[in-house]
Amino acid sequence: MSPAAVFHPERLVAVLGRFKVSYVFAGSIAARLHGSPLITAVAEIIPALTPQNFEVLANALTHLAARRYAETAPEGVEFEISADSLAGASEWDLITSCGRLRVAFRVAGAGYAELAPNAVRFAIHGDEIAVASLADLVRLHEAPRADDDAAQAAALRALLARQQAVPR
Amino acid sequence: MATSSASLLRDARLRAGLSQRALAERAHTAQSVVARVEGGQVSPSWDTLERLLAATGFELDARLGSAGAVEAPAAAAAAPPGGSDIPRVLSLDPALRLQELRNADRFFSSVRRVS
Repeated sequence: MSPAAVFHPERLVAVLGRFKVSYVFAGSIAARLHGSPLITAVAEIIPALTPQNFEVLANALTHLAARRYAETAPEGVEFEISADSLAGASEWDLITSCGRLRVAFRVAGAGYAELAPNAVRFAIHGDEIAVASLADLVRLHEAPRADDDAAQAAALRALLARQQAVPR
Repeated sequence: MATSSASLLRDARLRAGLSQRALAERAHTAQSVVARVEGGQVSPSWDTLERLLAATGFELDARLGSAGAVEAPAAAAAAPPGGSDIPRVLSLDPALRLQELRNADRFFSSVRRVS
């Protein structure tokens, strides 16, 4: 595999910011930012569902040389990247020049419109990123989609219980 | 049929991340055949539709139902999600595996909460 496929979240955020993609971080990065002890090298974003956002997302994914990820083809499989093709599926599991990236438009019935209002804001090198709230993350993990997700779901539930038990 | 052959094939092809040309190659047919089916210009036979869908990794799942409640053929959810990251990590040499941890560390060290 090319070294270019190594997980590099800083670069990923920079590219998504440069292409002005609107999204909320979910998955492992969001979980870690909320205090989960578990981290996997898979970023997950939930993009806004506007036509303009599909266009800029397609441009960003093209720039990132995105390919479809599969266990049997970890180097990825080429696919047609366009606003139309992206809109044709509810979720894409990709390998990019910045590593694994899951792009999900709806998870457990929630999309950008539901997650963005509750999102927590973080900043990195001048880019502001929206991260799904801890309560929303727990909800998103109610139906784990990969082996790694089950452990993360348990960690998130423990975090939320701790947060609710200890008033700040 | 609530779902046309055209939309069924297009949906399966896009979910498989294939171009019309790539699908045609897999199905040993011409790209123009795929285009005509997806464009609704021709109605493929059952066998042809089944063969084209198989090339996307999906299969035709048709069931009989009572009149007025006919279940349309649907592309079965046969396309696997990305799945485990283990094969990818195993494909990296140890130095690159450590590099990933350093990259993650740099990211989390640089992020600041603003709200």
